[in-house]
Amino acid sequence: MPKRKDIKKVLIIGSGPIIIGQAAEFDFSGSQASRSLREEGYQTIIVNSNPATIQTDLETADVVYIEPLTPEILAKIIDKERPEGLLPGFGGQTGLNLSYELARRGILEKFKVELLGSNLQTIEMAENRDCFRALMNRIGEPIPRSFAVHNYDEALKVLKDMNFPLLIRPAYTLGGTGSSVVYDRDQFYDAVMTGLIRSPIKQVLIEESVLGWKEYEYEVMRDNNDNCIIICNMENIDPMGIHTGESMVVAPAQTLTDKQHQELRCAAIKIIRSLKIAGGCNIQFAVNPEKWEYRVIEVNPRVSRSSALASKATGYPIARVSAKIAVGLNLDEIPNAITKKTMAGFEPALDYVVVKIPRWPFDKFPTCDRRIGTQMKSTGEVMAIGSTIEEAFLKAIRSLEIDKCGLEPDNWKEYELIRELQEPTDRFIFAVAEALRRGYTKKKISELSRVDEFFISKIENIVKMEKLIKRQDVSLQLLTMAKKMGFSDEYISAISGIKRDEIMAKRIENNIIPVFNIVDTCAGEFEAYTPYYYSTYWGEVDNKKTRRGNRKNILVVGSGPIRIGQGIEFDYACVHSVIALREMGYEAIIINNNPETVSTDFDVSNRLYFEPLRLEDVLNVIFKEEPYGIILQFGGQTSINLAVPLYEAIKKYGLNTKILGTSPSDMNLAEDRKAFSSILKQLNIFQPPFATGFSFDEVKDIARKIGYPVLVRPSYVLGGRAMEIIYDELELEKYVRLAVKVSPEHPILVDKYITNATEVDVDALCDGKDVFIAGIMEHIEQAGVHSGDSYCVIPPLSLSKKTINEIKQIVFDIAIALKTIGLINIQLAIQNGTVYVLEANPRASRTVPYVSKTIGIPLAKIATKIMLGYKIKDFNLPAEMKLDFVSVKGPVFPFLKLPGVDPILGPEMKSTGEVMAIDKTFGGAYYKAILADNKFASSGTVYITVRDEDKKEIVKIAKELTLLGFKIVATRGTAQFLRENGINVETVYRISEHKSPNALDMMRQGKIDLIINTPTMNYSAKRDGYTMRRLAVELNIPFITALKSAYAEIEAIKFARKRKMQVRPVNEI
Amino acid sequence: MKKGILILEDGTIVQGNGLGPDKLVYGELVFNTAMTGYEEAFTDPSYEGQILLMTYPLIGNYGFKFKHQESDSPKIRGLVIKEPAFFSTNTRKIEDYLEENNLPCIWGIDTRRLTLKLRYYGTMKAILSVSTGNINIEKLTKKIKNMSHPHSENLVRQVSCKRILFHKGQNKNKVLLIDCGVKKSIINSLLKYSSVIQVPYDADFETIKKINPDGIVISNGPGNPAHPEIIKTTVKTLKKLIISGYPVFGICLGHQLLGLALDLKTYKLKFGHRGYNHPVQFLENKKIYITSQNHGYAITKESKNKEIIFDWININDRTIEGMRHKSLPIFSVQFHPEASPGPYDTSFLFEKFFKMINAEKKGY
Ligand SMILES: Nc1ncnc2c1ncn2[C@@H]1O[C@H](COP(=O)(O)OP(=O)(O)O)[C@@H](O)[C@H]1O
Ligand SMILES: Nc1ncnc2c1ncn2[C@@H]1O[C@H](COP(=O)(O)OP(=O)(O)O)[C@@H](O)[C@H]1O
Ligand SMILES: [Mg+2]
Ligand SMILES: [Mg+2]
Repeated sequence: MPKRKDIKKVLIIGSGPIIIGQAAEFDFSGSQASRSLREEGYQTIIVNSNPATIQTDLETADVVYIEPLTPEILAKIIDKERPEGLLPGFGGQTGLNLSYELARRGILEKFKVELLGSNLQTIEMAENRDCFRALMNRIGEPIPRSFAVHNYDEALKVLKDMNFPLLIRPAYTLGGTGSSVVYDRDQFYDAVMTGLIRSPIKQVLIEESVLGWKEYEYEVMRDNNDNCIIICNMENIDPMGIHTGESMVVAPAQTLTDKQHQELRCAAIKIIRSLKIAGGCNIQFAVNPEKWEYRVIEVNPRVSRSSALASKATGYPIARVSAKIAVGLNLDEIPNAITKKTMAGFEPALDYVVVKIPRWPFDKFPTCDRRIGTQMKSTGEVMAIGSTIEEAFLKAIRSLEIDKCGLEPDNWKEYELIRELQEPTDRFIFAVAEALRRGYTKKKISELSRVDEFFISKIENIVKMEKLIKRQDVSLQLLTMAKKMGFSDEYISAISGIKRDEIMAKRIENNIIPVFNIVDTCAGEFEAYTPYYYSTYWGEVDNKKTRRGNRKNILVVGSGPIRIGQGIEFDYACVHSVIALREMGYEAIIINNNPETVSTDFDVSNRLYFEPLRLEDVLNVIFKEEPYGIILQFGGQTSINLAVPLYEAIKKYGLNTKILGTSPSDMNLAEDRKAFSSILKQLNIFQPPFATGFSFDEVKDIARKIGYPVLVRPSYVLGGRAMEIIYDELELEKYVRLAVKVSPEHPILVDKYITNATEVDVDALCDGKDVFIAGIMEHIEQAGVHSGDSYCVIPPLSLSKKTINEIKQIVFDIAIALKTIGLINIQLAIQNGTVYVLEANPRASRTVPYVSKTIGIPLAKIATKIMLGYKIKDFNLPAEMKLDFVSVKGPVFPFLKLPGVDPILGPEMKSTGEVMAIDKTFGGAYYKAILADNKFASSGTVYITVRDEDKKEIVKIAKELTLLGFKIVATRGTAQFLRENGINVETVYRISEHKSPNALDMMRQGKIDLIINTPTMNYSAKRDGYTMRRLAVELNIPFITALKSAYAEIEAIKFARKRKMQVRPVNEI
Repeated sequence: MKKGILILEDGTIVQGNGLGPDKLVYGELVFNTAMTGYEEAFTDPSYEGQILLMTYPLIGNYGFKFKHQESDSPKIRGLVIKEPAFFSTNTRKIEDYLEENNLPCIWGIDTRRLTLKLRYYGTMKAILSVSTGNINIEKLTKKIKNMSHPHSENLVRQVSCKRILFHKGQNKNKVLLIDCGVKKSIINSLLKYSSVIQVPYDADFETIKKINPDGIVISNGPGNPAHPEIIKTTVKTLKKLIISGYPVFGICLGHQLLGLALDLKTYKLKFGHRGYNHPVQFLENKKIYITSQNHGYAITKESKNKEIIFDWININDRTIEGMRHKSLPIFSVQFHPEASPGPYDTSFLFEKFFKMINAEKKGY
């Protein structure tokens, strides 16, 4: 069937900010879809609230809207753009649910927009757990016994003829949100109630459990001629009960016989046909490990996290092909972009093994319940490719960047170890290895964990190799075996005690180096044109270099898995760097290990290396490529941390390459506190007083000297890990005892905490002579809330001309002093007029995409060109940034998904993603930014409880809110104070008073619509507020923890009351 | 540790680990890209005369079971893989399987590199030697040069049944299966619809006529379809059967032999089709089916017979994948509708065959 002529414009809905369960994979699939459609001559319109996405670049789509993803906004955009088609399946669950909502409200019908790929019924049948049940029964596919209910009474009826444990699964959710396993009636009640809250259609499925069965995923593709193919099947190492997004996954499936695989294949095809999906979909199966039988768990009628993984694992561009199918093309009409000769209608064959491991944020949330289950907690994932499971597996571990180069154990007590195996956490796999070391049998471990013995045997191989390396002196033969098994020099060194350099030298001397194979979708059967490589030690090395004429190749080092503090923003910058390089006629080479991202898309770079980002692995690529230059500025801390080691390796091995941009030594000046502050002194720029303590006493003295409150942290971290604001010595003791160890190797950095200060972020470009100040971002929350977690606004609201000029001068001076070539980010705190510099990062910052999109200047691209010799004046950039609108960046938090985490904000970064919103007024932009995180109350009752310092200030706010018609309730202290100031307020009990009605009761009864709570910053008070904040999160009640945010909120409320939202395409900025 | 050495006709020498018996074998080195169903592949008689390289690196993951066998024993002469799974919970382990079946295996080598070589230069004669002691490489390298290609042997004779066998089926239908090295699952697929009389590849026309079957199936098998001994026997018989108007269904080699009997020509593919991800298109409805394939020869597009329509093609390389006769009840496919290993996408062809038979019985 030829492509459709009746469609010209197609709308693609993005997935919004990065949240747990929905990461970068949908920027990847959305961008690919858009490019794929434009290739066919269609116009594309993309809507996404997330500025750090390639799909919101004007190069990706014809029209781009960075607007909140709500039905109202989308309706406006549809009205304005009048697309004939809408792709619902490329924006994750968000895009799917929004499309469903638009259809349900008749908006699509009104504007004659057709759902392409998956129509309304399809979505209904797949996502509505009840309809899905019915469908599976109709086509005779086995599913776990289950009932869909809409309230607790129905649930109770159902309970009569089911027995525990049971699965509770809400409809239309993602990442297992609200789903759980329950073992008794109490848990049952809680789970059903939460489930009902979480499900957009208030429906939960109560399901018989198949816990401990094996979980498989099939990526299926269907076209308009009913042709079906399986792109890839994947086996979860973790059993049922662990969300696929939380599982370690292997592709292809390893333990299925052909007959079994074919049976699941047939079932998958039968299901996609019954759903009439045109394009890709993902089907999950549970398989009984005892005797052959299976159950269908669910279908995602869209491209998914798994399909992104499958794309990267096989080389088959699922999103690209799905998009073409959605506009009428068929599999035999779409060429296979990899082999060029063959068609898209085939099934990839792998001649390697792929392993995916999730990346969890527990390092940031020490209080979080680390156990993994049916609800996702991981923020990202890594993928590794190898010839064997062991090789791929160890590469994946290295890629995680969790300070492990192998299967190093924690020091578990026996019972802890057993618990790890029975109730897995992020440490599970290390526990398996440790259990084997302690002599547990594979069988025993498998019984405890329900993980197939096959995989445990693979871990056993690694453990055995550890033993060999410990015992013998590392012979060449053993070294070769270890490398084939995926051991890094670092790992071997750690076990054997031999220096890493020695091992590396020995390898290179004896030509024990990896070969780089191509991911070609066909196991070598056809010629492949995708330069997509992975390393393996299972190949014969041919030392003849592949000379590529005199064209210059440049290596861009990526940012690895998405984690809190290092999100998609850095991948965005890397991709832009690559684009710039190609524009300049260089060969751009990417090395990265994140399967979700655009940077690892097969046709973004000239050559892609899917590898860990440890020194050894990066060096292997450098040896192979001999790049003209290496770019480290865009990969966040991951690549920055490589700067010095790479610099030394280049010298040591006399490699004919160099690190581009700001020199490693100068980067180090910024990282090294002492060096940096002496620079500031020379420039006489203020900096909060600070000192480094190498023992507890030292730290105490320092704190006394500079005076409380102080901000303490271990040096060299991104995302403010383990950073705390300490108000007195008692807390300092607690902190040192609980949070960190202090020693000569682990010094603690103590800064004076600048109170009630306005924080400002600045991104600038520098070519060593000139500086271009791209964006001055004023934070809404006071300094002390991590820059990544605070709302911020361009242009600044409250800064005086004088202050702004002062800031500009400071930025200029520092950029020059650090001999910056490329990007630099500087954070400052302004305390009544005085400007302090908090830190300077001579690299691309988290805010680069936000600033670039706000001012319409591609900073990362320009930075790249500067690193290659361009000067700032070559780009004739404006001296002054004049904007006719206000641009707000808002953070998005994972608290709902992370039980046990206090949603209070501090110097530790906690947000997973961000949104951008623009409007003529600040109120409007801020309102949109809040909407994008969809928690907002424009009327009702506000509950106020603030610390004493804030009481005066709160009066103004309360007055404003009263004028806006809000009813005010407060705890005794605050209430009294407000009354005295002539505000009528209802008193509620403190939680600690254990009387009713207290705040919690009212919240549960839905009597509270907004909370203003500025917590007192000592442990006990924190605990008191914790329950309330936690409940607010569970019940989705907006709450404000900073006074300045309260003012901003009022602006937003006023706007929401008075004015209509405007939508404006980025093209018009 | 045993050594394994693989020597190709172009002088390539690959050294690796050895597994299985101490043994030296000679055959045509071919590669298969399937990711499951290794045991089905090893025991597929179409591999007679060949040394099999599996491109998927992990072989033996789920062990070995009799029910996975496509014939009573492995038919490949030697095995080339990257990593055997020295593990299996409740089924036979690969090392035992190889020993029991006297099948030598070389592993721990760069199988991808070999695959690319075969893709580039085409399949090659190869010697595989597994040994505990030393192996005289020079001698073997010389030896292989002047060894005649395995396809000069009559490989079909080595795998065809020696006498007529009867398989009782579901209903009173009765098909005759000309066994050129048939896979078990072809017989099982047929038994769903009919009884099967399995005759040797060289059964003559009279014998078959006496049996008076409702229809005739020509099975898959190894080697060159145009081998003189096959032309003299099977193809000769087929010509007569066609004229007598029997419904005929050819699979793989059977399809090629049918082609020859219909005066079409066959040729050797550079490296053949071996795997289960081969997309074929049925031109009548443009539908794509993913098929299991194992063949080194094909019918030439150029060869003509006005009575024949080529109604199936491979959408990767556009080679002929199937044909039917305009007026006679005859059709055949190059791929394997019985799957095993591979997808069941085209199993409907067996039903189609029996529909045709019943139509014939009713005389339309
Ligand atoms: N009946 C069940 N028994 C045991 N585990 C289950 C069952 N149903 C689902 N699960 C587990 O819960 C996880 C999440 O369920 P799923 O429906 O896939 O949620 P989501 O739609 O968010 O992906 C699955 O990956 C599986 O591990
Ligand atoms: N001396 C200080 N006074 C007040 N707030 C500070 C001070 N130092 C850091 N902060 C706060 O802590 C946050 C994180 O500190 P920063 O040095 O930026 O760590 P990171 O390297 O994680 O970005 C900053 O965004 C700021 O809000
Ligand atoms: Mg799922
Ligand atoms: Mg789902």
